[in-house]
Amino acid sequence: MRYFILIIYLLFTIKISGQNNKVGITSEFNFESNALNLDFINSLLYGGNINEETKVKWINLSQEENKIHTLFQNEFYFKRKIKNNNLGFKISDVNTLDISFSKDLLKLVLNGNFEYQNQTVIFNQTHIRANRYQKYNLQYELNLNQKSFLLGLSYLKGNHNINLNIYEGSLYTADYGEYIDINYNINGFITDTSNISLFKINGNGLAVDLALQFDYKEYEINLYLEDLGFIKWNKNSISLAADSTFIYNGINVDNIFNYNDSIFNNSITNENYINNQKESYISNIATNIGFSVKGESRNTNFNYFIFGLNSKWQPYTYKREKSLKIITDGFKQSNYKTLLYISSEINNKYCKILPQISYGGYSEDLNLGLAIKIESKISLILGTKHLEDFLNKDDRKSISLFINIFKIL
Amino acid sequence: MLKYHKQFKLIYFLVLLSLTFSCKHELERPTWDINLIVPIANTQININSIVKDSIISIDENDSGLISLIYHENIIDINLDSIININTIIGEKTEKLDSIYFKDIVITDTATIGELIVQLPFGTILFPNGSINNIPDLPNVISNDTTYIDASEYFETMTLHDGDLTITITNNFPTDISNISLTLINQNNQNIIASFTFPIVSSGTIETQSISIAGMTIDKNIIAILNNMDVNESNGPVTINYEDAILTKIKIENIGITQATAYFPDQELSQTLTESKFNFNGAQIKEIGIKKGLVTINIISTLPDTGRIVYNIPSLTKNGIPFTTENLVPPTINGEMTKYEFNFDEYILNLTGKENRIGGDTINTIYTEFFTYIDSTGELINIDQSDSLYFFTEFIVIPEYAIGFLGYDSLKIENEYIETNAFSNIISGDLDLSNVDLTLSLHNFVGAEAKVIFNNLSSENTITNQTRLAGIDLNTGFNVINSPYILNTATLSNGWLPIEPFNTTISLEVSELLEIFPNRINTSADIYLNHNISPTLDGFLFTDFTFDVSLDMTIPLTFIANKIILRDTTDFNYNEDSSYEIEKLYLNIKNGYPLDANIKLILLDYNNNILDTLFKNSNISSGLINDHYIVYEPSITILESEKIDFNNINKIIFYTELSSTDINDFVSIYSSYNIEFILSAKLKLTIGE
Repeated sequence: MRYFILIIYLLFTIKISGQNNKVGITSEFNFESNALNLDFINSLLYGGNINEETKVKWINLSQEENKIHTLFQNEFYFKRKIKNNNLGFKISDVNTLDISFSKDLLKLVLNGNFEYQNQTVIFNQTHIRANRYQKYNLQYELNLNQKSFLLGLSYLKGNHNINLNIYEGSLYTADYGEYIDINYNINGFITDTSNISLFKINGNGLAVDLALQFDYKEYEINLYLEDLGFIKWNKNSISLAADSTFIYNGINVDNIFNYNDSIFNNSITNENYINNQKESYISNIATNIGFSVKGESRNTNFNYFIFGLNSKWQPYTYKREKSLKIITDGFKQSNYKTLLYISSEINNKYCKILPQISYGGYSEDLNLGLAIKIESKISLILGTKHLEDFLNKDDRKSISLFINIFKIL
Repeated sequence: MLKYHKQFKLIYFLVLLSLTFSCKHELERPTWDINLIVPIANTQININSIVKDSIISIDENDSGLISLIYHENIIDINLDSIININTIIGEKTEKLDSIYFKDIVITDTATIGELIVQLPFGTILFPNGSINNIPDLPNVISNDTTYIDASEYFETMTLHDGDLTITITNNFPTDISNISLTLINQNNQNIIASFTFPIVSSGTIETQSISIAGMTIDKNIIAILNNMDVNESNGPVTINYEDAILTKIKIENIGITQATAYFPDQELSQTLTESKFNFNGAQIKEIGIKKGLVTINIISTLPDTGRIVYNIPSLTKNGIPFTTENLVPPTINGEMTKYEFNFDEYILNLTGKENRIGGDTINTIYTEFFTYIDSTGELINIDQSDSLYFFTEFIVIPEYAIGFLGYDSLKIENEYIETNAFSNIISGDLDLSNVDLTLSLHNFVGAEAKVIFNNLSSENTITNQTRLAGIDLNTGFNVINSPYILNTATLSNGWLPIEPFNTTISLEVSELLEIFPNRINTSADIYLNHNISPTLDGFLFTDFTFDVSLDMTIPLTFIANKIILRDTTDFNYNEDSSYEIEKLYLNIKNGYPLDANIKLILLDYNNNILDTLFKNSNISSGLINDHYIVYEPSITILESEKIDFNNINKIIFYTELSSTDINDFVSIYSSYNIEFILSAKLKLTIGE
């Protein structure tokens, strides 16, 4: 990795001759939640004791359906102009984590079931999806008569994947723990856990990019479909499945007063009700689908305005069947609310300012984005998609930072 | 511009450097506490699970009313001692004076040719094949010595009996006379014997024999022909040099006092014996052996291995008589050689030797014991005092015996059986309704018996209370000291199964149980064949003798007043550090018409009280109707406070039971049960 960084450094600092070629690196980190704040993820990641006050706070913050998304992505790209057309190449390292879970599950996990006697705790639609892969992308942009058409093909080198889905889950605890009624339907996949090194290859996949840009009247219209693809994970992956409903009322014994630790341990040790086997499986990566309209600004302070809409498609599990439901489910199961945004560019003496207002996304609320762009032989864009949470120290539900350094060769 | 470019280079370098080497925040697992409540165990107890004692069974009538059936054998007599055999028979010593030694024969030939050669011009005057007159030749042989080698028979022999015989066969064509012969031991020059033959006519045989008892003979014997005359022939005779005088020396009828010799295979002794067993008045024809061990003990002072053959024709298995043949090594330091034989499942006929004079007898075993020595081809030194000493030990545990079992009286004194049916009850009052007890007396023996009970009672040894059994409802007499005659049992077609003689005694014993007895005491006398003439048709199968069993029917209709049960159980618990038990809940659904009060006393390893759980916890009776029948269980939840489980070694359970109304009987039905559900509040720390 350090050699790679050294090469990038040399690329940017050594003067090479050329024209209209572009090379750059980007790095992006996003944490977005629709309910729980950054403290929650900090505690999960960095440990420490979660006290009762924190539990109450988190439970109060939580919604009936809680979503957490994190992305950490680094990318190197190179774009070469060939006559009017562009040939681009990108290498990306992508790490994503998507979690959705119910408020009941949060309460159960944080408090246990003692407080919920004579209640049913429902943890339907709990999903955990973690993905790490590298993308090697080749794009060709064809420019014809004020229209450009982009076709990209990516080879995906999958490192690790976790895909755990609890479609149905409930737990009823009778008064005084007389019995516990458990119902669950769980399936999931985990890639080979015997080697968890970052660049271990556990799967391979493909993805395509399609984009169309054209002018309509004074507007520039951009339609795109990005990263429509999949990774097929190898046969060392573990497939988990459990679907069960049972009432547990302890071990049936002849003499309840002759109890000992074996009764206790047998009672509270989870039995392995989960079937697991090793098999290959396929997972989809998150596909971006959207369009934007770019128009000239009549206000001299703003160079242009862009109005856009972005959605994501990523089903929980890969299915071969072809139906409209898969398409609609894929949008829903991405845990991403269609993002509407408007952005612009403001000229400044030293740099350009790129503001953005958006609504939706993983945070499902209003977001303020802001970036600065310093143009030079080596240009820099540094910004955030969630300026509003930078300003809200106490209850940050999102954090975002991206940087793009590029050079026109 | 160049400066500006350098600034950017520096910025980029710092940014990349910080990205590369920025300090990492170590990832750690968060921890938090959760409280779980989980069911631990449950049990549903009905009368079937309460009454697990194998001697108590449950009877249920049409309405579901439960009665406990208690069955116990209170007397089970072992009569093995009547016919057990543990004795020694056939003790005998076989000495070597009976040893046989085959005859010793030594021959010598003297031809006429050998004689003529010794004469001056003999072969010229009497050529072979010629016809001549043989003149009178006095003293033709004198003091002629011949060495006899008997080493192929012996080295030396001292005889207590024996004859030495000389046979002279004269095949000369003329008579011989004045023959004098002396046999001398070469070693000590002792004369063994001297013989004189006045005349042996041509073509005749002369024999003389003398006793050599008491003499010692060596293997090297010198035979001295003191004199022999050849008489003149009766006219010319054919001179044939092959014609000879044959001399045969024979030692026969040998009885050895001591010898070093080559002995032939031979039987030393034969002991055919009838031995009588003492069965103390019993007259037994046949015994079936359950376990039998017969040991033949032998001491052999023979210098070499002996051999025995032991036959017991009357001891058979599957019709095959017992026989055994064994080698007997010389004893070392007087130690016995033992041969053990397993006689399990053999049949021992005790009527004596087959076809014996006087007919069959009883209690008698016939045995055959043979001793042998085998030729080894080696010189053996045998002394007359060498012997085989042997005897046979019989240890027999019979399976059955056929015959008259004798007149015997058996005393059963202060026998008791312990019962733990009430062992957990430490106090309280129990009022039972109508408990029937039946004593069944069974005689499986082919002999009549009279039984007299001297004691039949229940006893609580803790409270020192005793209750005597009373009137036999069948006879109207008190069961104590009343004689009960048990007629003889019979066999079906002369063999099993036994058809026993049975009789019963009926008693009402509520009072015997209300003291919560832990013992049932019995004393009795049994008289066998009392005033009966002996016949050999009797029998005894040791697994089936006399037994007295007790059957008690206890209807579970009672009044209980503060019956306190106590039970102690060991407790073994190693607390798992991953969780902590904060509280226990005991959810009780009582479907019995009994109120209960329970407490659990926790003891440490030194039996010190650590804590008392569920102190004074009242568990209500199930809800009952006007007929005192439970129609709905009561529900009681007991909670414990936090318990330190790690030091608990034992738990004592105290349960106090009382009927709902202590003036009315309640009944226990099969549908009644009590359900316990144990759950625990656990504190877990997640992430540790």
